[in-house]
Amino acid sequence: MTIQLLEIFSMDIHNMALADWVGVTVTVITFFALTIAYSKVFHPKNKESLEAHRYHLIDHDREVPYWGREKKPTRIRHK
Amino acid sequence: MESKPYNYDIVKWFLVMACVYFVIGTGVGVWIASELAWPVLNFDNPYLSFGRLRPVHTNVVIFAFGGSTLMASAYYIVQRTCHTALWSDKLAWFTFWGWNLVIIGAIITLPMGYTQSKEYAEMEWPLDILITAVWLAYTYNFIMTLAIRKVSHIYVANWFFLAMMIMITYLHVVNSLVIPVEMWKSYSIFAGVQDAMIQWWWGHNAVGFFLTAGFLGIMYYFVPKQANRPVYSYRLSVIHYWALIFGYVWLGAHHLQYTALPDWTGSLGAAISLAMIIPSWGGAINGMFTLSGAWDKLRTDYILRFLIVSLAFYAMSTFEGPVMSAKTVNALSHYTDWTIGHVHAGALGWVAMVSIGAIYHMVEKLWDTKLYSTRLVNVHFWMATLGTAIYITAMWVSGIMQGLMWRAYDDYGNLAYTFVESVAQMHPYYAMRAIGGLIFFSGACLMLWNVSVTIYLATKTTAREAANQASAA
Repeated sequence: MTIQLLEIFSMDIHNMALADWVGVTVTVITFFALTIAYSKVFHPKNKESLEAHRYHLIDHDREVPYWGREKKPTRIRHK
Repeated sequence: MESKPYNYDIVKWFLVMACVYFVIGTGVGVWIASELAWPVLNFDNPYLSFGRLRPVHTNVVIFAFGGSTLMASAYYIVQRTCHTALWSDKLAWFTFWGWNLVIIGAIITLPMGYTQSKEYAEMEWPLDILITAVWLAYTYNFIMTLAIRKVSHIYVANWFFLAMMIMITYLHVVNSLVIPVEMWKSYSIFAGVQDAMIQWWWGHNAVGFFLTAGFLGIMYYFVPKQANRPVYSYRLSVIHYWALIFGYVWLGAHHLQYTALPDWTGSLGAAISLAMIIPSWGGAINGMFTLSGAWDKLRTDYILRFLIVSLAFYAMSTFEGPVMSAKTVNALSHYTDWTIGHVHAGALGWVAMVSIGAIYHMVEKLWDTKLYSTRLVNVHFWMATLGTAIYITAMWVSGIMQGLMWRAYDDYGNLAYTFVESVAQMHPYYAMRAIGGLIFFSGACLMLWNVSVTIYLATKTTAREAANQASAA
């Protein structure tokens, strides 16, 4: 089993072309990026702030455009 | 100071054209399905042959119907969730006329035999350039509308639309890189297995980003709106988004198992495909559970039925696809009608049904009226469901039978069946597929009728009210 796993992850580094290195780099970056995304989203401290947006369509879907005078985006507070 | 009103006219026009293209696209589909069951319907006319009409069917249902629905809903959602009108009305109208010009170009040139022979990218280079210009205008207008939004948060549906726009630009441009030799003839700059890989990198991502990410944007807006419930889990929607965006681009290679493509590439495509079940099902569950505590709405709200059943088909086809990508299953399923069944489970069950739900919802909102007949919406729902079920069941049976017949050996190691014997066995299932398609197409006609009458009556009422107000003043 150990040998089979090693075979799966074995790399012929000396014969790797530029395309292979690009592929490996993208794979590794994607792996870490997804790990970060999962851990941030499922971290308990982020639950409240993220889930507050559940109500976005209930509270902030407007039939008509915003009628305010602000030029900058208005921050909407979620309870 | 009043803000500029939302541009709903552009949404209305795209929406009407989506209904028209829905009828044309499914109608051509039924015709070519019938040609396969009864080849005499070719009439020995090259312009009506399966090979030329098939890309007309796929381009009209995907890009004309699907594209118009995506443009209508993206323009509708981004304005309402960002509390601002579209950044540029002129650019929006350019996308409308440009996109329709592309579709008309496809409907004319493809039956004439002008094709790049790339699946879901058959149109020749002049049309490819026009597609690029229109798509960039659509993307730029959407991004700029997000930039001038009046709320800080960008709702998740807009993220899905944005991912679709960026990735389709990239995929379309790379896959369409050709050397033109005449006005309507060109050759791909890629050759051999690289060409095949680029083709399926595009092909599967057309499914992944155009037909999935974009329509998930539709789902994340219209399911909560129609149900009048908050989305079940926002965290799940965020994970759904990022996992889908990171994962989908790897899948194309699973279309080329057992070919000249390096073996590891196909294995990688299959492995990531199987991993994609998790986010896909997370999204489907997220949509369905939005109805938690309000399932009774399904008894009376026929529009919601379309939206929720579409999610069931989404879950089913995103499980079936990864299973088919695994080499063992692929050895049986590849090149058979099973693939056609799988594609239509996604296309009819997921894409078309979620679009139908969104279109009915928008018609009521945009024309500020109720649909002419909710009973017809219910009839349409059952026709769409029944038609899809008959179609995909026929193709599953036919596909598995094909696969088994093609690889059956006798005791001496000879093939047990000739190819033509397998074709003869398909006839009842091809007839059944044509009937399933006909039922689905009839539902599309019903929808066009219902929407047209609704719009006509709403417009008449508005005109009468305006006249009354004017005379009262």
